[in-house]
Amino acid sequence: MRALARPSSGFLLILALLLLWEVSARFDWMNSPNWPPLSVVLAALARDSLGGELPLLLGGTLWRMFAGLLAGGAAGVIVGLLFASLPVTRRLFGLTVELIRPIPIPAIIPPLVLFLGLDNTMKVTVVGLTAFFPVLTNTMQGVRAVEADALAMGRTFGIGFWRRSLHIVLPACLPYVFAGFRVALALALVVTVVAEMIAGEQGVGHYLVLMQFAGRAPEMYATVILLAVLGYGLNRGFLAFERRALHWYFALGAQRN
Amino acid sequence: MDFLELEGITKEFPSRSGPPARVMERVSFSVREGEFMAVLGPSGCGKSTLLQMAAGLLPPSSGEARIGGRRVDGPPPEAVYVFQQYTRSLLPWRNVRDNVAFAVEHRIGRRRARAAAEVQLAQVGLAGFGDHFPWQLSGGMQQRVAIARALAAEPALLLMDEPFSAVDALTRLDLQALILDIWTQRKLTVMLVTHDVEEAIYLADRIAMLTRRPTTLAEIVEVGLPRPRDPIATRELPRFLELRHDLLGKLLTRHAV
Ligand SMILES: Nc1ncnc2c1ncn2[C@@H]1O[C@H](COP(=O)(O)OP(=O)(O)OP(=O)(O)O)[C@@H](O)[C@H]1O
Ligand SMILES: [Mg+2]
Repeated sequence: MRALARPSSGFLLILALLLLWEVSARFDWMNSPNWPPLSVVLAALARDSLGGELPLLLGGTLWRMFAGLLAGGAAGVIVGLLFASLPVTRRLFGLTVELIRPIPIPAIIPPLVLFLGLDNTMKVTVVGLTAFFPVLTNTMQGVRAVEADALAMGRTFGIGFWRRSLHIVLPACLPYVFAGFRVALALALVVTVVAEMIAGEQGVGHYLVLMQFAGRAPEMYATVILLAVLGYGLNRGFLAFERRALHWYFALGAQRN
Repeated sequence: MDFLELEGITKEFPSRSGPPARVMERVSFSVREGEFMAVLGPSGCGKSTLLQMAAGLLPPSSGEARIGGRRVDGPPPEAVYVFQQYTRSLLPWRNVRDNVAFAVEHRIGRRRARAAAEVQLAQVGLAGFGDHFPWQLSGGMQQRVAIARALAAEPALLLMDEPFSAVDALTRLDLQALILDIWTQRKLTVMLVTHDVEEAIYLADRIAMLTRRPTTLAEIVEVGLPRPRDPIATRELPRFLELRHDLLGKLLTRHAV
């Protein structure tokens, strides 16, 4: 709160850099037609935003990103819980997962296009795969950290396996799940934009490439700025949501310190 | 009549190198219905292990436990295990009321479970604390919550693993009085593990003394102190002092061997 009210040194540095941008472009220090002044970029940003074009594209991008994030993340939680609590499933599927994991996600876009086309299905699938792995890894780590006493407590009251998983294991590893989602969120934005740049004619990513081809530098930079602000905002929003959802976890942490 | 019977219980844990480690060797004794039995033994002799086998949380390597004449394989509905470390068995994401309700909500539904929880909380002196979270309470209060939760399941047999070892001396006296009250009112059968000689004498009808590892039953001691017991007067009776002298001596020499 205080950091927002009083400009910190970090904030001042950003102001200085933006000022440098404006000045360097005004005096053409870069000697390039593709380095427009910040004020022109901001004007382009305002024009495209008010015109309604950019918000619409952004809405599509966000929709694809969240659909993929939720689907892939949910799969990561479920598979993570299964792997960690039923060793059979891990023996059966673990190797497959380990072999898919190291593939750089953008590399699977071309083959996926052949099967799923250029549009939403393909992009949501790619983002889903992106989100799946960090959530899976963190969930499994979380299950290992569940107190043995809490599980035995469930058993002594005659609570069955599924109910224990849902009411003891899942909440207990929620802090880990959230950590996985935080990583997945950042990756998901990257991969959504990359997928839009590579294939199809949707979203902010495609717009960015379009502006580049058209040589419209102000619009291009405006899009980059928009994505930077979006990424920052998403992360801040996520952290606020996490603090609310895991209030008990943060309270415990504060108590220990 | 014998309610809990332990017969020839042997426990081995697999060890990484060499043959399995034998922790416990053919321990047999019984707890009568309505009796208060204490189990006393040096640290690491397997008291918790024995109690967990009685609770059906851990299978014996050979021998068997019976509750009400039925062989224990898995947690029986008549028995509830109260953990040594309440911080690990209470769920930090549930408030106190819902922690207590957790013991029965899978059987009677959430609404009735919450109502039952209020009753139990009042019984342990925590009326009005339902909305607090466990980590907002003192250690002694948290252990009361754990006791209330155990009582909510309406067990016939309470298996308690050093339930008062983590609280200060005064709180311990309080909790001992509480347990004696509950035991008298509800006509429970109790087996309580402790390494505190005075606690064993003060609470129990009989004391099962265990040896060091490999652990066997050394002897069963009749306490024979009148009830109701008084936290001050009982501890000054000649019989109390005599027992304390005896048992401490035995524990110490066994430690020295
Ligand atoms: N899962 C396990 N694998 C191997 N050894 C174990 C395992 N659980 C317990 N043991 C061993 O069994 C012995 C008895 O452990 P237990 O916790 O039952 O002792 P205890 O009498 O309750 O000790 P304390 O007084 O410290 O609570 C210990 O020496 C311990 O090392
Ligand atoms: Mg123990």
